[in-house]
Amino acid sequence: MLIDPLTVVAQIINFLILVALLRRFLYAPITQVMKKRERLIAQQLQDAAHQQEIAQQEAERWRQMQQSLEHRQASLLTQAQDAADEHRHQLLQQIRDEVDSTQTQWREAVKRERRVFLSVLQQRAGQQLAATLRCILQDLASANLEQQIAEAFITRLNHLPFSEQGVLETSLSNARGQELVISSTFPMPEDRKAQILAVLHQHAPAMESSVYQFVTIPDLICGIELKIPGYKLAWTIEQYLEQLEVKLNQVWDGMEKSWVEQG
Amino acid sequence: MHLTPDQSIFWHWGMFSLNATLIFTWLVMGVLVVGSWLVTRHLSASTQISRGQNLLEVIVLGIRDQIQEIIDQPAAPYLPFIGTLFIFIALSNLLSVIPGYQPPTGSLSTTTALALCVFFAVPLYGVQKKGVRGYLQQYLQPNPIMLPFNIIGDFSRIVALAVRLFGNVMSGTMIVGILLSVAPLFFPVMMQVLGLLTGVIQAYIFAILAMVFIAAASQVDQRNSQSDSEVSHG
Repeated sequence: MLIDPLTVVAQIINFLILVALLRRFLYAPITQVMKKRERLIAQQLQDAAHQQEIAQQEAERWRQMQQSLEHRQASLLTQAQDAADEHRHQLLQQIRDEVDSTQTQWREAVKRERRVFLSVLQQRAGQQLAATLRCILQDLASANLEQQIAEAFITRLNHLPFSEQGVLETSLSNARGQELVISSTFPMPEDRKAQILAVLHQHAPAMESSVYQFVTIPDLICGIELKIPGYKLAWTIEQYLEQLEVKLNQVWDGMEKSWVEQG
Repeated sequence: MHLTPDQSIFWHWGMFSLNATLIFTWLVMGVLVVGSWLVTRHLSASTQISRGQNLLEVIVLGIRDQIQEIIDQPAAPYLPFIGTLFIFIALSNLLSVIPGYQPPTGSLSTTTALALCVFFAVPLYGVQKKGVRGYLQQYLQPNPIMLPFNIIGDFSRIVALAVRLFGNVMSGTMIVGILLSVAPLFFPVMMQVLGLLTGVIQAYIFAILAMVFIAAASQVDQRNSQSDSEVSHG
């Protein structure tokens, strides 16, 4: 028979003993240690989660600090840029002011030099013109320049407009008792002096001839000049040179304006 | 050649006889108990564990997961019984690669003993879960007419358990023995390798079926307890 009852009973007992032994030596210790490890791992996971939470909080704090620093950096940068712009504008304005000042000084210097130049030019040109006219008159008409100037002065004195005659007469009457100077570049010939005095006597018969003083002034540009307080009558080449000076000034101003426009 | 190790008797006294089944059963028990004791003496709860502990944890964890998949409830009450069934049968079959070793599971007495253990374990777990009356009522389900068929079903599955395991192991041993006499060089080795596979599969089938039988009673118990609770709440 394949089944031995005693063996069956013995095997049942053996199996039950084996269950008890394995429960004691295998299942209980293994399951306990696995539960213990699970608790340990769970604790470690919990600790890790806690650490992660702390790390996230730290990261968030650092992120906020970084954002704050970035904002502060941007603010400082903006302030620095504004200050730099302001400083640049100030420097530019200062430079512009300095340039304007220098330009103004330069223009003033140019104007001064121009005035000096024109004055010198007027003086030299007057002298040169007088010498040239003298030569021309001598060569063409065998005439004397000084005589012609005196002639022209006398002619102007004789043909004064009516209103100007009144002014002359009033001035002469007001200057009574004073010396009246008739200046000329050259020594006035006596006949011309007499002619001038005669004309002046017509305008102011009460005036004596002794009040009129004829003076020679070399600096006067080739002409004759009568100065009475409140009135002046002259014929000089300077009048023509003044027109030349006016023309030169106009040309000069035009050139300056074009320079300014060209920058 | 003996058909069953029961017939290999080493010592005889009166009606008691010490046969190869008992000797090799004790050998397997010794290997299991001593091996478990040696490993579990120095268990570590850390993540650095020994190879032996790792092996035992894999085995215990695998059995526990299989039980939980079947019964869908904590496996702790069933682990010693089902686990011991699997480990004992598997090791008994695996040791058959040792020359001279006769697997105890090749004895119909051993398989019958194991099947009887399952036969008694099913009502024990059922009664533990539901009580005597509740367990016995399942024999009247779905109709009292089914009572004899349920009883026959219980006995028949015990017989099927015992004979299936015995037949597989005994046939494997017999085939290897026959092949040794016919073609001793190559085929016995292949059959031994195949025997290792079938031995583990048979252990798995035996343990799973035992668990299914126990779980069937537990599930009936759960369903009844659910209906009872619904009635009481209603």
